[in-house]
Amino acid sequence: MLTIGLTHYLVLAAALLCCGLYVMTTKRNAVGILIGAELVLNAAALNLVAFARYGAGGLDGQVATLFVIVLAAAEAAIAIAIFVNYYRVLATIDADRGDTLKG
Amino acid sequence: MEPGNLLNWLIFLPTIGAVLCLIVPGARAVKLIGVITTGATFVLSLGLFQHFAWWDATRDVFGSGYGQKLYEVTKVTWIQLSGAPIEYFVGVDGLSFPLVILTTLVTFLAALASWNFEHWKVSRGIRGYFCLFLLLETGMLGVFCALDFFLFYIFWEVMLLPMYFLIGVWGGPRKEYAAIKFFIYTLAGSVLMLVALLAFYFYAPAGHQTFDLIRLATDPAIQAAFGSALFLGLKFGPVMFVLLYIGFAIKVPVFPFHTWLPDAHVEAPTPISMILAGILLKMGAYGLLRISYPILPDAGTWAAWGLALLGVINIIYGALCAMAQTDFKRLVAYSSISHMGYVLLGLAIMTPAGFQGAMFQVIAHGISSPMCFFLVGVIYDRAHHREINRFGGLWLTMPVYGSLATLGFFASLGLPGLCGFIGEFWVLIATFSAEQWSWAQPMAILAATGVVLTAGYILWMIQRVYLGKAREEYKSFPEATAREIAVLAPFAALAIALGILPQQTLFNFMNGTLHQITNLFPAAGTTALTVAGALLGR
Amino acid sequence: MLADVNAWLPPLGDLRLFAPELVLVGTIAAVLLVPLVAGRNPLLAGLIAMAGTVLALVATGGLAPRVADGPQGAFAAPGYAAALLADRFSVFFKLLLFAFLVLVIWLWLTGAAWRVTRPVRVGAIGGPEFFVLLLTSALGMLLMVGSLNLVVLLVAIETASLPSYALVASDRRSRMGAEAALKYVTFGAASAAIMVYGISLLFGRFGTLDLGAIATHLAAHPGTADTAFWIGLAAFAAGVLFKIAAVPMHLWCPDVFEGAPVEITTWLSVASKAAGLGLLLRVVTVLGPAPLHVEVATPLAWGVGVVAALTCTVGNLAALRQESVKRTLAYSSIAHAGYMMMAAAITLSPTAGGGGPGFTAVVAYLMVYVVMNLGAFGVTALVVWQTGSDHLSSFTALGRRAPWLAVPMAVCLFSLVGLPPLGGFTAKWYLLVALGKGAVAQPWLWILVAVAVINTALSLYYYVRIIRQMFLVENDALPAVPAPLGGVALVTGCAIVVLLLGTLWFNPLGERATILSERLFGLATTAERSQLAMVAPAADSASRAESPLTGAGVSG
Repeated sequence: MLTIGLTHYLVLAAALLCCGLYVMTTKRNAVGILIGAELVLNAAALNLVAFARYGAGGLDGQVATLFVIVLAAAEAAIAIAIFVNYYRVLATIDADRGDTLKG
Repeated sequence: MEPGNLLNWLIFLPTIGAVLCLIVPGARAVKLIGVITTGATFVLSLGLFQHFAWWDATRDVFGSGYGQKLYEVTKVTWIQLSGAPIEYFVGVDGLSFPLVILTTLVTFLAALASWNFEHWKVSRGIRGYFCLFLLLETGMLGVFCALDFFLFYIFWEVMLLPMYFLIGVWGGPRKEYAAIKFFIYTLAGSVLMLVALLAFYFYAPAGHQTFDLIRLATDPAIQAAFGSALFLGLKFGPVMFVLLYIGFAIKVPVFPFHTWLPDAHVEAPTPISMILAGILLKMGAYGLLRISYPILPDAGTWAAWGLALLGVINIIYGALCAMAQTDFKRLVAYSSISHMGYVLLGLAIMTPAGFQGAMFQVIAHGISSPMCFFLVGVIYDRAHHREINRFGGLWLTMPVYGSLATLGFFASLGLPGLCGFIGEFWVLIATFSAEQWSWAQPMAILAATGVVLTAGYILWMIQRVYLGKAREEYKSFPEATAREIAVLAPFAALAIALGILPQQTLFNFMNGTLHQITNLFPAAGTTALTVAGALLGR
Repeated sequence: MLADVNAWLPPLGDLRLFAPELVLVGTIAAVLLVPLVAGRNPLLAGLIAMAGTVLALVATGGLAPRVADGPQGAFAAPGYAAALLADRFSVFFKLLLFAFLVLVIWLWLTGAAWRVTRPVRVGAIGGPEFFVLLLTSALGMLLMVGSLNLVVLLVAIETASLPSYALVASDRRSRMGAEAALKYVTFGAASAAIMVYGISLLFGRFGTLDLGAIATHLAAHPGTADTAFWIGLAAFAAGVLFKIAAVPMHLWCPDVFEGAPVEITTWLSVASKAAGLGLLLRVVTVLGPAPLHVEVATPLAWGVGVVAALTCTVGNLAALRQESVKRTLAYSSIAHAGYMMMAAAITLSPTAGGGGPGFTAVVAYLMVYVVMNLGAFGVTALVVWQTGSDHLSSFTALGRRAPWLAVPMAVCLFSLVGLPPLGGFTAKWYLLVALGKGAVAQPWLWILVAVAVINTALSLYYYVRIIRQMFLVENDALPAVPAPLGGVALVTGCAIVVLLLGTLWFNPLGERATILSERLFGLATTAERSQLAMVAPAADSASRAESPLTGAGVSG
């Protein structure tokens, strides 16, 4: 029987990371980019919990995960508010359409 | 060394004047302050003559070695670094003394030349003009007096800002372009100098670290360290020499760094052109003599061939360009490039005679070129254009001015009996007789063709502008005013004096120091020969 | 052990070490709650924020003599490494941040009072929520320089960032503001996510979230600085570089600075960078000292050096083409962050002995940068309020229209170039001296010297473009630009200080910075630091009792 170990969690997290990075770099929709970031955050959270469970870190990893979750929520709240404002002003949510600034 | 504070007054008197310019009421008062301050600075600078007595040959003026005898020295710690302090260290020796006098004189005459400020096309902000003008004088005098590299650098940069605004605000139609070009070129050069400044400090062995220009040149431990060190895998001396050289070459200016000069000259108002040509260009040569050659003599030997070639290119290229100009001011600007070529050539051969010729040429050009620019300014004030081909017969309409103009341009041409001749002749002779360089004689012959070219463009110009039939539209031109003659007369007198009595007017004041600098060079001749041989593949 | 943690409460003495943060939190609460009683009044909110910040500044000043040299004030449960640090380093940065915050609020108050009497040309910003956000972002920045715990740092960075995102969009009618905020938040979210992933890797590799413990581990076990460590550190650095706006995490900076209200741009241009730089320096100090230098510090020094060189080159090159003054200054701030990061590279030099000249350079540079940048942005703010635009053309003939603005602006801009005799040169000089000193042992630092000086020459062009527009371009049709007296006083003060820093205060600045930097890193070796952090709380009943600070402390 296959035992689920640290490696499995890490591979899953790495896969999540890759998905997140892919989404962040290819999506033009700001919400999409935010979702990508959330995926990466979740990958990191998964890492932290897995290391806490199998590694030497003790409870620190679990606590850190809680922080990460809260931060992700706060970030999403602010980001959505800004997206709504953006939509109200420009009637689009495409990050590429914002070309008033030449960045 | 002896205590003194004359130089401090010299350097900071213009600053006081600059502050006064901002507070006194009325345009006339501002002009008066400007002229009086520069005049007082000039009179004060004459006090330096007490130390340098050509009439008393028994006096030991120059001391036993480089930097052994300095005058009006002030040396106080300014900034404390962990190694050695940065000092406020000023003083004059035979190298800086003639330049200080030249600076105060040319600045004073340029201030006089600014007297008709209200008649300029762009005559706004007289306060700002004289304030910046006086700050510029502080910077220039500071550069010539500073004996601490850091202080030298500060004063060098202090000159930049006033010059930028003086060209940019009160200049001609393309003033903005000319001003920014001047600024960027000069700053690019000076930041390279900054690298060398730091490297000199940190490559000196522990306990010997200093910014003192005299100690950098004479401390054997420092010299030994510089001789053997590597900078990023390259030999220290040559790298530093090149960095410094680019910094100074931009100021001189040396081909191919010269392109800012014609623009700056053409756009600058007349008094600023006078200062630019008379003093600022000399700082490059002064920097080479004060910093590059004494501290890095080996690298000077290493680079001699290339530098001499650049000098010759300057002479010929400048003369050819001058010949092609129809703008009067541009012609004089290119002639400056050509004349500075002799300075470079004289320096490059690294012999006492070469240095003497170069320094003489520096001073001679410092007298003739401001005169020429002012001469151009005088007719520009009347005609409001500078097209050489549209003038003619001005000598007939303005005989006094015409005579002075001919004198000035002949001095620039290098007519025997006038100042330009001695410098060029001395450099050519020195180059021709520099036996340690196998390339020296061909170079001298090439450079001598420059004399012919110079005669060509100046005589041609004189013919077109001053000779021939008087043109109808210029017949009403008034003769040079008393003020204009007052500006031109000192230049004319000096041009003649230097031409007839070079020994008494100049050589006696500086030869001692120049000899001391050449004495710093290692075993003169032998290394030079081998290096030259290696370069030529023998 | 779990019981221990539950029973543990921070001793009161420790709390007093965090008085500045607590005052700031109190101020935030006051700004939020007072409107319930007194009604919505932007000016009142501004005044409360001002008062609270001044109080926090005083509290920080009072703290300065009480914290010892080097890290101290471990805010930690028994057996745990310090989560928050109150040492001279953080106190220095806190003083800097609070002083700057006071000036920014002063700028805002000037503008707000000005708008009362004049037709408004740009959207007014203000109100309680504005100040809550501003002060909260300041709180985050304070925490950024006061910890070595990765999770605390994460929380600090986010606390600094999240309000900043909203601040950028605080003028809700502004199209540019909305767009800038969108870019800022997406970029910020991405870099934060990457940073968290890096933290997770570091945690997994070393089993701890304390950077000090990681350094101790690295020192004790040579060869543990493996790929996982470097990837984790690089990912963590992404978050730090984002705050500094260093290459390659700088892309948000110009857009955000251009789109944000000018007061916010002023705030972010200094505070965000200063805090990020403080954090970078702290990381570098922990990972720099002797036993680590071959394996960790040298590659890290190269990394920091390369990023620094790229940052200032990219910043300067991009600035050359800009038409918006705010945007120009944004790129200029990127470039200056690059100069300051160069000093961080030196502190990793094995011979520099715990930083020394590198820290002197950073401290001096920061002090000068705050003043000259505030001056330049202050003038920009005053011009924007009056003309409604920060385009270069708004500055046309300012030398005639408003000499009291144009002259301070010119002084600050020339200082940003680094021309003597202005403060910017002083700062650059100490940086170059530090680089030169470091280069005695590591000649590659001369490359950084070359990059720095070449960039100086490069930067001249775009600064002078603004000066040219103010003094050389003439347009007699344009009207005079009136400006509030408070704002003129602010920028004139900045210009005078910049001038003094370049002349009379040249030496004093260096001495002060040297003393500060020596004391900031009094005992900066890894071993000592981690010893203090790990051991002191555990064995501390005795030592705490001796401390005059903690006499009334409550111990777990």
